[in-house]
Amino acid sequence: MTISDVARNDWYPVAIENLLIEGQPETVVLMGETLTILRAADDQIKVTAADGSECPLTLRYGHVWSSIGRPEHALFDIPEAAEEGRRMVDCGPVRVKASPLRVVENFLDIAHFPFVHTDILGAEPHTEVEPYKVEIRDTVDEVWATKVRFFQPQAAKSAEEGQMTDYMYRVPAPCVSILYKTSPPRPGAWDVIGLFVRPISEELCDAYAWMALYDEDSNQTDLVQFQQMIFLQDRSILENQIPRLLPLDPKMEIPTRADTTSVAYRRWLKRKGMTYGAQLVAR
Amino acid sequence: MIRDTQPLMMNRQTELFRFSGDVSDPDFLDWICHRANRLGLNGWVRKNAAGGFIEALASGPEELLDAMELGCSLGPITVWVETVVRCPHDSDGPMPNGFKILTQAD
Repeated sequence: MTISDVARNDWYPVAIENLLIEGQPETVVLMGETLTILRAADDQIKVTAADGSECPLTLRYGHVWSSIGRPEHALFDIPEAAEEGRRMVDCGPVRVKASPLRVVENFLDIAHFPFVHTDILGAEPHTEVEPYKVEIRDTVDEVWATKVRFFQPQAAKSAEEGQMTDYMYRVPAPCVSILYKTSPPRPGAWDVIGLFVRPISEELCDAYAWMALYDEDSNQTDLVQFQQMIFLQDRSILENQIPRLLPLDPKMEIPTRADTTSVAYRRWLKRKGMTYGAQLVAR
Repeated sequence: MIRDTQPLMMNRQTELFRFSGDVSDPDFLDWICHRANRLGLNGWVRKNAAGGFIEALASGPEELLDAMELGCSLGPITVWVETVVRCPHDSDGPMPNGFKILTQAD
């Protein structure tokens, strides 16, 4: 298949920076192409394609980012990553047999919390998704969902009791979603959780979770384990979705108000021409 | 199940939808009709050639009219719906039983 320029010329996570050991190359697949990541003796990191050519490189948010094309834009900014007092947590990749776009869409979905993350991120009878605001911000070319509120029995590892949690969602790139949620130990501030997805093929991907939290008490292992537990619950759902690609034509589905963010995301993908991992015609 | 649907049925209303953007694909009318029938809405859809937009009159529970707007805002891959405008409509005339495409002859 032909990979559209939009997909080809974007940045994707290919490794966790501090897990790269000097002189020990790692290989990953990005949209069917094999890339090798190496931390050389001079501590410089390089990414090379199968033909030996050097690939673009950006080091940010604890990850190594690269591309099989030539990105003309810088990697998206997460200003919170530079704020004092936050803990940065790399949760590592989780392999998912699903479209990378499906994985991002699932991350944006609030309505599934009580049913998939029962007694953690949601619980019956608190299943209602209150109206919230969704927009495609043309000035930054991003999808934003704001004023999202949901009752959560355990909003984060640091949460001691159930609470109404405020959320914001941001999609700065087709394979990236960032959520902002009430920080349990610091209610006036946002915890930030990013999901960075590397498409291996249209139906297979690695999803890297990354967090920038206000949490001085939890140990690193527990934080990673909590996030992995949540994501593994999602994976069993994601790997059974049909069709496996994300439909950009909703003819066979009935999206409702709770799916407003998903529809905005799909509209945005459609407008950008991001078709890698998408189903264009309903079947 | 009957208990669940009653609140929806009590809340029937009629609205005029206007879909603007790159909506010239004639198959979009079929697509909208299919969507409305799946939602159990009554009404019609037609192309407003002079205005360059698609308009639809739809009657049903508010939640399903919302679902109509949401689905059509994405639409088939051949169209780009830039805006959806909805306004309440006091329908004096008879509404079709089901949903259909109006032609110029209608």
